[in-house]
Amino acid sequence: MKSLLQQPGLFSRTILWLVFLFLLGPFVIVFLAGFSAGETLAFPPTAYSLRWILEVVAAEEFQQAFLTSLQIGLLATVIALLLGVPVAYAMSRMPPPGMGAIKQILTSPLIIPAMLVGLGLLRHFVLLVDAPVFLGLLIGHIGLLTPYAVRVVYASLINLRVDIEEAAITLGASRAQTFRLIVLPNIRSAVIAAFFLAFVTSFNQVPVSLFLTGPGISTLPIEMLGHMENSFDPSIAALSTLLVLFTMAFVLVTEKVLGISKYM
Amino acid sequence: MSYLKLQQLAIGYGNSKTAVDQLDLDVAQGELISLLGPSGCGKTTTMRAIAGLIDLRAGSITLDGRDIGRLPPNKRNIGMVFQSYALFPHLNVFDNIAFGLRLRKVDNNNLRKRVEKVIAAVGLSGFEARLPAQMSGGQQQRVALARAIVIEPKLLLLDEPLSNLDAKLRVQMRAELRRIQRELGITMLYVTHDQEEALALSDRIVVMHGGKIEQLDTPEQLFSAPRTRFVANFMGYENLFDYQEGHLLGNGQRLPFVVTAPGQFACAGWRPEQVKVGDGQYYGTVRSRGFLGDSVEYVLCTPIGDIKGVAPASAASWREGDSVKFSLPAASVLLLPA
Amino acid sequence: MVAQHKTRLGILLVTPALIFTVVCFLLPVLALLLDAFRVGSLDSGTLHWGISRFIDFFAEPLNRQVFLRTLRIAALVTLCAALLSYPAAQAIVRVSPSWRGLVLGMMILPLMVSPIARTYAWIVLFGRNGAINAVLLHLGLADAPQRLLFSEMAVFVGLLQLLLPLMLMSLVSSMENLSRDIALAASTLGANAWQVFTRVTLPLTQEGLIVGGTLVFTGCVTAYVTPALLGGPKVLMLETLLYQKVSVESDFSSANVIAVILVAMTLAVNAGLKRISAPRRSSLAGSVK
Repeated sequence: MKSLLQQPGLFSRTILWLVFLFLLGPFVIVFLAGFSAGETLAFPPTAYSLRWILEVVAAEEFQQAFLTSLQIGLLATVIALLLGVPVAYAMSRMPPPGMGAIKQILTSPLIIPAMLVGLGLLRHFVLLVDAPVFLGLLIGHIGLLTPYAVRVVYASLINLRVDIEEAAITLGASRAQTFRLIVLPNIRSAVIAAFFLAFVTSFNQVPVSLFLTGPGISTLPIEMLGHMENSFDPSIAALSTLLVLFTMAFVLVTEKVLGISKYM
Repeated sequence: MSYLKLQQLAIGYGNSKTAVDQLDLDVAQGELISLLGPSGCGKTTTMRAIAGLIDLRAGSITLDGRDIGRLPPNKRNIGMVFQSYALFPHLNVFDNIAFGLRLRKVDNNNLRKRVEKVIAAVGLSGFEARLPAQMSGGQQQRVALARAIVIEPKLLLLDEPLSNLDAKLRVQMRAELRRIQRELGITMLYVTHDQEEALALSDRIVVMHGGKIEQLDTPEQLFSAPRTRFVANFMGYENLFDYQEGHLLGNGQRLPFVVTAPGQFACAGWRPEQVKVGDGQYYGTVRSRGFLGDSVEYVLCTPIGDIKGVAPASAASWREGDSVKFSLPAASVLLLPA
Repeated sequence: MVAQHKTRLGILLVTPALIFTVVCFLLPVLALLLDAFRVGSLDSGTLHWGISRFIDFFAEPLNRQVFLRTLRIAALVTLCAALLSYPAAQAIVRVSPSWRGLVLGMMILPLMVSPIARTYAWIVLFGRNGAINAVLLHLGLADAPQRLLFSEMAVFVGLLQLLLPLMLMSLVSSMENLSRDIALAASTLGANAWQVFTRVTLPLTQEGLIVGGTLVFTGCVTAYVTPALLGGPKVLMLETLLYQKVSVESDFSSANVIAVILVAMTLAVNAGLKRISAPRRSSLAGSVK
């Protein structure tokens, strides 16, 4: 019995290590490349320095793009939550008629290729009504993030017993008070997890933003892509390094504090 | 003058069948009434309708002279203790109990006094800062009770509050509940499927079956004089047989039995305790035996079906398969007209 | 009364999100898709429905090539993802609970990082001055730096790295629900490791495989960043082709056709999934592009 279980165990564990190497190794590479001192992208770097990182941080177009990404991310996430949390609540407590179809519609952003949304919004909204670029970009992101908000909060709500809401009602609370005083405090971590998940998704988004950015309004990933077309210096590597660091810290902290993985 | 009056209540779920049909009930102030019956009989449904958590299809509910049938549940001032206690997990004992008072904007001083008084009444002084997750079932139950009482409701509804506790605790809490109810004089409606509990607690008992009231009576009456087969069976008359012209009928067979009481009867029944195993004019074969301490309970195979009886432990020596005498005393027989 | 209030409230709560999604999401895309079926021109007044745009599109050899290439690479990536994920997932479910959180965190981490950063590593590795070329030259296996970038292989590797976690998590989730005792029972009945895998594990984790496969396949078909960076204008996939048609050639006709193809493919794969099993969709589908 022991040998039977050990053999496949060894094989699968080896594959697991290889897979991890494959998945995470590139991060190490990007990380190191960002610190390279040279003019071009040589790997391994001949020398290390903070040069490119400093340059990238100081570059105005990247600063602007970072700010835009941040603004869009925060705004879109908050609005997505405002739209999505009520849906999650309704789905779990009082599904309206036609809930199945509604669910389909609300999760469609997860299925429809994001690039088409960007293109569609561009041609049939932004250009049509001459809407400000920022608005088009924002709308695209909100649509993308709402299903995440719904999904994560819903998972938490179905595990929350309904009888405590009934108890609150018999004690005199209205529906709104019950939601504020009883439901919200108990789904707090799910809402926060949804916030982080949505924000990160928005921040890293490329396809939706491709067609919805314009002069002066660009998200960081788009700016990075544009830069890559023109030059081959390690500046993008440096940016990527920063992004990786940023995301890693983000994910590890929230996983430790909230355990996001259980909401996926 | 009834304090709680249910008139011709009809309750149903969604578009489907009616769960409760044409229910009438009068409850006096300060009474403890139990709704007793098997699962699905409509007792919880009735309770939830009184609380306002389910709509009425027809009928009215009057509480202290006021028609509350149209009021939303949070305006009825009815306290409810849930089977699962439903304590707010994010609030400690004090805040759980204070919840209703805070909603009513009771000032801090008063609030503190009232909450602490009721905490003492349920015997949880010192537990104010504890969270529900840090307490035992019995303690949680007392918090749930305190929370419902502190708002001084006109009516207290309890939905099988003791069913999640172990046997010993259940008996203890039962006495506690009764004591508190008596002290505070609160009108209580108590839902349970446990007839022993209902008998011990209630001023009166409503036995329900299939959405209707089978019998409404005091515990003593219900125990000794059930009026229908269902109630008789529910109250422990496990030996029920059709009766016709001096014979007990069952399994297509007949056993002679003489009824001395006047009147027309169609059913005769006995509790196991009343059927004496070991002596009598009837014979049966032991199918199984169960030791109960002072006595031994026997299930006997007879021509008309299985009969459950008892014999004192000292005299009970029969084993499975033995043939044994038993008696069906005419003195203690329960006779039903249907 | 209570029931009515509840229904009304339920409707009220979902309406804002519903309106938003329909108006700002579905309608624009729908308009795009419909355009692909509208033939003729507005000016000459010959506007009508037809599929001539599609015919024109597939008449171009380049377009056909891109279409087939996308399907090919997607299928290959899905297959390799499955092959690698099965053993890896098995190892993961056997990890002790104290490490489980860390392992899962490590699997989620890649998904949280920008696809640009993730793909960048391959640029670094595959580039002319990159590590692989350096090794090849050093070992004398090549005379000059090879062109590794802008090849199908590069896109394949990039997409595999990008989407593998999806398959992995799907399988882990599916296997977690599989009691260890089942495999043990099978082996006591005489099955060797391979047989346990094919006759017990595989059928029982079928759903996880299908869900993961769907995510990976659609992820490949709708990928942009990775094909853009690693394939470039030489190795186009459907989305990079779409981008090119719009921003470089202003060829909206082709763009709309590609849009229809993309939607058709994703819908088909997802519908197929629904038919085969109860949907247990991962929420990660959108985060990787």
